[in-house]
Amino acid sequence: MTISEVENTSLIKKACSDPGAFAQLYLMHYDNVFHYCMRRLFNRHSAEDVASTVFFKVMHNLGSFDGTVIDFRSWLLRIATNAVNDHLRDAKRRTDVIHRVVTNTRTQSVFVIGCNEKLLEKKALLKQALLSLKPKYQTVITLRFFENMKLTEIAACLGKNPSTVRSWLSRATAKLRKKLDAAVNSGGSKL
Amino acid sequence: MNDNEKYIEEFVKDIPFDAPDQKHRDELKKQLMSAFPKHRLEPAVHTVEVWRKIMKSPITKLAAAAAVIVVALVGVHLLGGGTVAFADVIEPILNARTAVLDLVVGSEETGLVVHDIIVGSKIRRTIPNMGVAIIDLDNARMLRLDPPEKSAVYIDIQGPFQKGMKNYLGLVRDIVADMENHPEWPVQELGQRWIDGQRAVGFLLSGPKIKLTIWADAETAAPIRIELLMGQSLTIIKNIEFDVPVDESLVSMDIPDGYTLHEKELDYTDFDEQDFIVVLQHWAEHVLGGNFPDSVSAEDILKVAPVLRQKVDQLNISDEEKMQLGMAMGRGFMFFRQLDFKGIDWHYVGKGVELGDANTAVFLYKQEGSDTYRVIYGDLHVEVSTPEDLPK
Repeated sequence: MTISEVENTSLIKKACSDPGAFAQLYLMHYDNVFHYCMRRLFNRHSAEDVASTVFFKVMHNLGSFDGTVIDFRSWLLRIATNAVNDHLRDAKRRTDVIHRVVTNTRTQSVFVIGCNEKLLEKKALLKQALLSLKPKYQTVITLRFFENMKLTEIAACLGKNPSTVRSWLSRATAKLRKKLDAAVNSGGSKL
Repeated sequence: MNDNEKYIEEFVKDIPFDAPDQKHRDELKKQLMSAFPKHRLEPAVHTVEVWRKIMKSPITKLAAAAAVIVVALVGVHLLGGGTVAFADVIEPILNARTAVLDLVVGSEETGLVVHDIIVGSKIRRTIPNMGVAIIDLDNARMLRLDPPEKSAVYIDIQGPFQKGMKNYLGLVRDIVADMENHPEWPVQELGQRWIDGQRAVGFLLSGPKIKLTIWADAETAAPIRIELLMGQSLTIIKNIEFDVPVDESLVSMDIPDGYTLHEKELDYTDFDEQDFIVVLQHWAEHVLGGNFPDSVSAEDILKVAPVLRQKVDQLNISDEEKMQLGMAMGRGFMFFRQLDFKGIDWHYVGKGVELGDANTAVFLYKQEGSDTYRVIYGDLHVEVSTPEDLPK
């Protein structure tokens, strides 16, 4: 481990009993967790809600974490994944999410900087396609293409065998491509 | 990477996503800090040692109970305040026989957190580094236990507080009835926010000199946070659980086995302005080098009380005199506490004032049943003033 990693591992241990250290840890990871939730849920409010849940879970369970700073990112993303999937599992919530997605496809958030119409359209298509997949497929897509994680890292994060993750990723990408192709060809209406 | 993966990688490239909002990040940080599990905190060894050392003093063993009284009285209106016309939210408050909660005296960031177990009209209050107080509201009596010293003392808390302390939950029901008679007291919906990982809906009740905010679970309507601003005293109640099984021996007014009962029962029921002046004088003289404090609140008093005890104990006076002085301070705290309790208008203006300054006011409060104010100056003399003539 580098000096920085050793320091960060020490910070994680300290954060179990020191609110100041926990606050520091929180600030180090807030943006990453938010981005992950945002890319899974495509909705700022939902992403903030789930990020809140994630950090409360982290706070209450930090004592059970006994790995290094490298493992910590995986641990954090696993909690975030579970929280996002819990959020999506509720059928009504899922319907709401999709409904909001559909009604807000062209609404540009004030927090998005420097994007063009074409990218917004692609984003709208991606939202609809991705959210229509099973949560486990959404998870591997997000971890692979937005978090840029390798198969083995995704497997460690989800606590699955790499072969299982490979299989999920293969199915997920095939399904997603099919949906995106259909949407692109039909102008976004067929998903 | 296969074709599908390449396709998706290309598709998602450069797609913009919302950036994090600093406001949410900061708000969540605050919530996390306020909910940080207290049992995981490193023990404040130094503070505990200082407190124990102080408590070994003959005078402070008794006089320190005054600080406990201040905390004991903070929660008197706790449930009384939670009485607004949003039935689902107040239902558990009204009907619960037992409750377990944390009570923050003062602000969220700096206030003292005490833990309450409530059974009917009795409260067991655990105060960090200051032991335990068992309060019998029906009989306006308190039993203070000092676990490290294994000592116990009974304290009479009747007098002006008795009416408000007669019955904890009964008082709530009375005030509910009161509020129904006051439709002019608005209840405002505050919308939703996340509190301790729960989605909460908020209600704000504004009455004369009272602002009561109740945050309840958005799904179950169970209250999860109550903020009561009464006069200038803010109390926050959180980590609330209603109707949990409680061992009733925890609120027994009997002396626990192994404890020694102090023979003298303390009486703090007869206090007046002069007692409060004693507090101000010693606070300025012995703690702040001749300057009055920047602010005076229940939270400030709780923090300064142990220091004052220590200073009194170091004075070159007899033990009996130390005892009398400590008792006077305890009564002074009671005097201050009852101002908000009675809804009396008061103002502390002593920031930057030096002890001995006869021309500058330090504290003023409205006399009960009168339009005039009593004004305490920097040299501790008192004048009566009409509202028009109050010092600026």
